[in-house]
Amino acid sequence: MLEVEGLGHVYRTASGEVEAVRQVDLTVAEGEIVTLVGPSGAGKTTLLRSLAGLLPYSRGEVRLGGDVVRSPHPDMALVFQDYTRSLMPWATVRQNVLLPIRKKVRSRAERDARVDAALAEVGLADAADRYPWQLSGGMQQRVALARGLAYRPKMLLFDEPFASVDAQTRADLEDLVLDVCAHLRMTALFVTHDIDEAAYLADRIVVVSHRPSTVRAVLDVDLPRPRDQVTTKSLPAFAELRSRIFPLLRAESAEATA
Amino acid sequence: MTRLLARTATYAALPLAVLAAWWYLTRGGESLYFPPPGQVFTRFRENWLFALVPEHVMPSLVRMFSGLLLSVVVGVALGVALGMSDLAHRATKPWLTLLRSTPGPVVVVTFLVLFGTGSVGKVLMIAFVSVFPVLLNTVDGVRAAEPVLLDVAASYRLSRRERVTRIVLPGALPQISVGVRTSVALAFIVMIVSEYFGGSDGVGYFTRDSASGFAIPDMWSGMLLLGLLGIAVNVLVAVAQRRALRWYAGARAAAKS
Repeated sequence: MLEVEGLGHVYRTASGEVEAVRQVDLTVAEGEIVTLVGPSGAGKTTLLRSLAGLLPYSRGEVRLGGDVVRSPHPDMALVFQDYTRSLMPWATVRQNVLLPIRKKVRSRAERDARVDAALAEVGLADAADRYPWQLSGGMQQRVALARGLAYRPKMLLFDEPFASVDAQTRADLEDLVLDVCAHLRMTALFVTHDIDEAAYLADRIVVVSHRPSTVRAVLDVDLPRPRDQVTTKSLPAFAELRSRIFPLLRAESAEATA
Repeated sequence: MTRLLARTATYAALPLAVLAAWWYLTRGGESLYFPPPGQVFTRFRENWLFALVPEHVMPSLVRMFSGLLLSVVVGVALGVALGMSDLAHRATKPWLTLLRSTPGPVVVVTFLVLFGTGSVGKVLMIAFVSVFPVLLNTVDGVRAAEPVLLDVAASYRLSRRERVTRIVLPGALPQISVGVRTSVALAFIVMIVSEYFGGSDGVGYFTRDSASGFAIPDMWSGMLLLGLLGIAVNVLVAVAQRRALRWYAGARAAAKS
């Protein structure tokens, strides 16, 4: 579904050119959950913004369902890292979820049905008339996810969405992502710097290097589904996966600080 | 309830003290320019409850609110246009700042020459002076739009119109309202001054006319009314603002905790 070939991105700044992404190739098949894990400052956000069509890339090509992506694609929705900034504080939860489909969906009844379904999907049916700032961080990120779902994309992109919530909430949100993707047969690319999260969610893990990003390894994950925070994470295969990713990232940060 | 009483007492203490001093100092009643408060209150009642309200108060308020409305509409529309374009912003900013610094009285005289002493000229004067705080604050508010929300708008392929009405304008509203508060104060001043210089109605005209006819208690009653109107207009705008920006207060409180 998503094909990335030879993607590179160079920023032009006052002091010259900065290469953020050197060479990234990856594919995400339909219905697959791929996680992209890399150290902090790996240019992951730059990479994701390029894939989402928000940032023009310098080299290579991104295709979604065969279309070359140069601007945001209608089959793709992005869940941002910072939920306090990605939701409109002046709008209720319902209005926030409604935002992407006000013009896209003509019938009011259909719009309302979509919003209700999306909120039910993330377990927030009761919070529709509240404001984002009245909700906990975890609930706000659910609203952001519901907004993506109401858009009815074929693919969801996540940019380190759970980086700033507590551990318990994070586990709940990870399970929510798995449930939603399974239920809606959603394709997803999930960016994170957390190794456990990358392994727990993924069908495949793409490990990227420190800036300028290149793909260091692609690991297939054959942990059984449905996954469970306790049983999956105590499987020997999970531990083995962690131990394969960990050195890849650590070697990176050692090089970066050296 | 006791707290409300205590607060009211705190606020009322100073004006009551001034009133008492005024009453004490004018108890002889021999000064032409400083009549005792009782006399002023009597004239106030005779003039403003409500005999001269249609003749003087209504024209003043209608002109002020017309000018204010015009300045808000023009200021917000122009401010969004300038705020959304980097080039337009750079090209106009210094000139807008310069124009804003034009003193009100200069504007009043110029507009009197250009448009005469009728209501249209006065409304335009009020609008011209009070458009700048709205305009400059709108530009700033628009330029400070949350970049993540602009990304959200782009990624969901919102139209330019939706981006402005759903994201940029609501986000700029707190800043715009700061400008409106300043504009209200300016509009009120220009309303009075414009009536001083010309015309045949309005509270400003009445006050100046009373002064030049040595109808001193009438003059004081006009001043008192202008003060009270000023307070009333401010309270009205503050209440409207608090209602429109309830989300802002809530979000700020939530961010602090």
